[in-house]
Amino acid sequence: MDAPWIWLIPLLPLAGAAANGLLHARFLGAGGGAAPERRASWLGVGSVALSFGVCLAAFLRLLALDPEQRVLRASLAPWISAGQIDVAWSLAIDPLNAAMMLVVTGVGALIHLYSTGYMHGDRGFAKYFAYLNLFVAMMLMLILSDSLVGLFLGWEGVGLCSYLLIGFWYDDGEKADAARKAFVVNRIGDLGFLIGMGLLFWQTGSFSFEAVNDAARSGGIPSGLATVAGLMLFLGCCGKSAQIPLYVWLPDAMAGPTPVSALIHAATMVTSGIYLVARLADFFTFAPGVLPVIGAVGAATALFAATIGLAQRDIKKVLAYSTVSQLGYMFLALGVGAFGAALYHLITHAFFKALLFLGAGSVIHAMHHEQDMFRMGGLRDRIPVTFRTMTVGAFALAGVPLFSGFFSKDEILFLSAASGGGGWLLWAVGLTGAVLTAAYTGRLLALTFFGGPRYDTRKLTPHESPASMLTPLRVLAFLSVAGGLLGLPFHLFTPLHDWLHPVLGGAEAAARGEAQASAALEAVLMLLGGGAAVASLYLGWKRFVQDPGEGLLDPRRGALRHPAAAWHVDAFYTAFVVVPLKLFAAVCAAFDLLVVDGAVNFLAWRSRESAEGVRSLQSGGAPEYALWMAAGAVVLVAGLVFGAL
Amino acid sequence: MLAAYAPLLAWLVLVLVFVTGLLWVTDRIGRPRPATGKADTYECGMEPVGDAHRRFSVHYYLVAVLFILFDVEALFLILWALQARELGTPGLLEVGFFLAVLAVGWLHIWRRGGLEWDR
Amino acid sequence: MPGPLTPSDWLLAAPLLWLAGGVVAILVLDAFRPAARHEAGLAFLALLGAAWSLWPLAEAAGEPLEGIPGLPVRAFSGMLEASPGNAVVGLLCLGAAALAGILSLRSLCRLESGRHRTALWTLLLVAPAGMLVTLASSHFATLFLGIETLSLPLYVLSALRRTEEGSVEAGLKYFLLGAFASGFLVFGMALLYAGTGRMDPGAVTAALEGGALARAGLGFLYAGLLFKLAIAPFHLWVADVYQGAPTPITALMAAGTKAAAALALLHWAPPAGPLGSGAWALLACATLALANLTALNQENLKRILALSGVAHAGLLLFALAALQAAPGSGASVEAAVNFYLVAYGVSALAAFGALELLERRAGGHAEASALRGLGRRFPVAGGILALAVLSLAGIPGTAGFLGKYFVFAELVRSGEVGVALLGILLTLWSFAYYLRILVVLYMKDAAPAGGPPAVQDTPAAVALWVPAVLVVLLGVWPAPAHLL
Repeated sequence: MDAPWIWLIPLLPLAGAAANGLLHARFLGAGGGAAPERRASWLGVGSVALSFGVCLAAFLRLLALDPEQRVLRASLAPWISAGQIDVAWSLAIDPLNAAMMLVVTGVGALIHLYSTGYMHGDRGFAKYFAYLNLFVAMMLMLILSDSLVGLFLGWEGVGLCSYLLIGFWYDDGEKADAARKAFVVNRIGDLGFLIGMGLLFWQTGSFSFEAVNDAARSGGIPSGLATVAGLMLFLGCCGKSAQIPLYVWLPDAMAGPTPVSALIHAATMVTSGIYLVARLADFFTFAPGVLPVIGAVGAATALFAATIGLAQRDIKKVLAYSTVSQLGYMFLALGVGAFGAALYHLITHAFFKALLFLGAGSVIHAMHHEQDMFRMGGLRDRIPVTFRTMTVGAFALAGVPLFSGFFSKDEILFLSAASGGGGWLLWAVGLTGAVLTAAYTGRLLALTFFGGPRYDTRKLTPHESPASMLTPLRVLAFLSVAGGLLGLPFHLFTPLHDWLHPVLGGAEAAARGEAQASAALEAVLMLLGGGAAVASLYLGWKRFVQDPGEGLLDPRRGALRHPAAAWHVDAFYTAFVVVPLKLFAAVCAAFDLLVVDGAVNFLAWRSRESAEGVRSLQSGGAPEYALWMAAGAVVLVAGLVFGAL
Repeated sequence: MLAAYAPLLAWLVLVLVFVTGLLWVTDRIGRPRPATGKADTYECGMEPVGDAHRRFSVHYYLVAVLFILFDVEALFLILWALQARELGTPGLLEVGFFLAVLAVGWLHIWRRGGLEWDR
Repeated sequence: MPGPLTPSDWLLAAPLLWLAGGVVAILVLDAFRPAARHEAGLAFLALLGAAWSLWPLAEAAGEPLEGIPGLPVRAFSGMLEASPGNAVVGLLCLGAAALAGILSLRSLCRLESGRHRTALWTLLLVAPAGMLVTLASSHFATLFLGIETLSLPLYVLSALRRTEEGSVEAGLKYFLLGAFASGFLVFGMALLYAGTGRMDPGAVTAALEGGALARAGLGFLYAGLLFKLAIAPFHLWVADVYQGAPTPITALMAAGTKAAAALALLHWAPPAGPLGSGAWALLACATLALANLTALNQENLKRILALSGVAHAGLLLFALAALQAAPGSGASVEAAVNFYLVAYGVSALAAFGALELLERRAGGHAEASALRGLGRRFPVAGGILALAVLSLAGIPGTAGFLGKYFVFAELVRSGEVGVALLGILLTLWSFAYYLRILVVLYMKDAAPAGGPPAVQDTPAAVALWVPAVLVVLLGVWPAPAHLL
């Protein structure tokens, strides 16, 4: 059904971005002050909040429709129409992206609100909100577009905003480098995305999701090509959603302001890879061999990143690796055809990881920009609200029963165990990862909030953050608990899955086939998972509350020295990818300088020589011009009369 | 269809032959008797004075152009006049409108002094 | 005897009536109140009215207008014919006149204490009227009338700075050669009529079966049209005239005249026409090569932009080559040509407009040496000129890129891949002089400020944003001007 007003959803934040950009330009020289900051806050938070309101309206409109007909469409205008290519500026909201847009605008609005406190007094306050609003607009474009081209526009747009915000404090060289790294690594993934998109267009003649999914369902795409296209698209997802082998940018991306890490690098942008696979669920299901690869990569990333998370000293780095690991769980779910479970975990993760990041931001704020957990300790009494809310988030992340993360992660593990084939292996890997997750979560709580202070108490008195920062924490803490209600186990109460069923049901049935498991197995696995998580969380907390264990990370003798160095992946990439590439580039540069430039210079020299000759035509004399015209006319006439032309 | 133009071509050729022939004949039978008077611009009558490249007042050109402009309008009027009865009142109105537009131009020239000779 | 005017007639006549009405109003007012300065206001009112009356046609993409049968709209017993795409180009012509007017407000209007005001504003209304007639002409009478109506005002406007040698030279040269070309045109029409007995575009195809007379007529007709479009070897006047004419007028010529002449040529070169795709491609390549070569060593930015215009006209002929190679592609070729004209038009308007502003800062010179580094000193005008130059060069993301893309896509689709590759190579060659403009604009050692301080020209600076924004907008969203 047509609903042109849904264009407001991305356009409102876009307008906010433009307004804030103007605000920034105007007050650049004025040196800040309270008034421009207040205006920027209103614009920034207001535009996203309004957009959330429109999202709610759209959601209610969808709810009123018959489940099979739940689609809102809005076509603004034709965009590119050249030959076969026909792309329009059009949006389509169905249950899948409705769920996504509510998360993006809802969590986004909370994080915007939080940012007004966190960024207070920053020189680039309005610029920050311009970027952040632009990000939300682009993210909504990505989610709501009805074609791959529109999604790609958003995909690149959020990449750009991510780059701008990671390097927001660009006068720090390290941060600027981190931004560049994120951009370049994502380029590799984008290349895969483009190739996949091109292959699909070549085969189906359309960029629209519906056409691609329909073609896949009806067997309109040859299987070999579908596999290649699927893997290429997944490479794009690996870049954007930080999976092996392209995850390396995300930990570095923590250089950006902490709310940015919460919004972009935990809750929304990094989940767009999951969204893409779910969006094209039918296609991925029917592309032979792609889903197993996705599942394997997801499981491997989940475990791998969790080991690294255990051995970080920077509180944000722990959360970054945790994000990589949790995204791995989502891909694991996609890989076993549990698309709904992936979306479920995506949503709960958005709640509790945003909460953890914002809590970490609050801690960092209190500690005057200290991020090293070994320089914290005992903050429990100093910043009690932050402590309490973060504990909720940590319990959800660790998978403590009755918290939202428990239900969503448990569902993923159960469905992978029940998926037949190598399902038990995936389950085992996933469970190990979950145990490690609980352990590093316990470590994070212990190092930050328990024990005695390991900072100079004379110089620094940590204080609780302002209300603008605590309100989002409280709301997200509530959601981190209540989010579990979206999908309770044993089919007790599953509103999210029922909601998504019209979109994903077909693909799930096709991907999972007859794989069914008994409720007894589910109960056993749940007890096992929940018990392991609680035990591991307690042990992790216990181990580090007594002794912070800084020595474990010692680069030479520490027991955790390898995970602490992220398993030397960056060094490996430098040695085997970056250095050879640079050598190759040097050779190319030499070739370019000597051979190509030489040839070009020669051509240019020849051109200039002949240009002198031709220029004499342009004598400035009207009679001569007339003569040339007459000659031209004679040639034309003669040619036409004698039929030579 | 070019054949239709054959008489024209024949006439052209005849003219050329006749004219060049006459000139040729005069040249052959006449006897050249050069004299100073013959080299003059006018063999008889007024004596030429000064240079032919004289400067005219720019008003001369202005008036000439304006004359041609309004002269051509008479051409259109003739076409209308020939059919005036058949065209009836609509035709009269149309030609009236045409003249009115022209009158605006004339009015403009007149008011801006284009018709004043010594200005 | 033709009956009363039909709705179609009114539709196509309305913009002309607005413009003519503006002219009459200005003349009457000037006759009785020479001191009152109402010319500019009346002229803008007339241009706005014309655009307003043309708008419905431009908007009627794909569906006929209410009460008017069929698209393209045919009026005056088929003497005028215009599609929605043509109407968009028509809007471009009106916009070009308006921009030329705005750019003149603080310069040409004040020339010799403003004594040429009336001439300037009336002629600025007559020229676009001629363009509108030309681009919709489908009869010898309207074609000739249109071309003369657009040319005569431009002859005068080119020479408006009558105390400056270059301007007078430009006007005279344009007039002499233009008259020469008009001679070709009208002679060609006469021969075609004599040979085929027709005066509509059907005469062109009929001439193929006709005798030598009609075919010779075709040759003269095309010679006349190619002069207006500035195709080699009829292009030599362009550099001198564009350089000498006041820059606002140059902008109008570049955007408007070219568009009108190109659409006229498209009307009068139907598919399966007398000149095959090879001939058009040859003309295109020759024009591109000559224009590019000549532009390489130029020192005057206005001259470089003029030659760039020649190159762009040459590139447009590739579309005609495509049409000849694939006669069934009429609609999409027309869409490509319309878009190309709009894309080139807005780029040229932005380029010449920005150059005019920079020129004033450099004491009225467009020499590279006088404009050195001005892009840094005047970031807005310099930025717009740089953007326009990027669009003229065809950098992706600008309207110019898509214009070229659509034309070459037509060529490739018609099967002329080799020609397309050659054309692209020739286009790439032009980057050399486009880049040079950028280098000059942003050169480190800026030229010393010369001449008297320029007048602050807010209207021009504001108006320039319109073509600049369009360059970007059409570069990402071509649909409004690419009507299939």
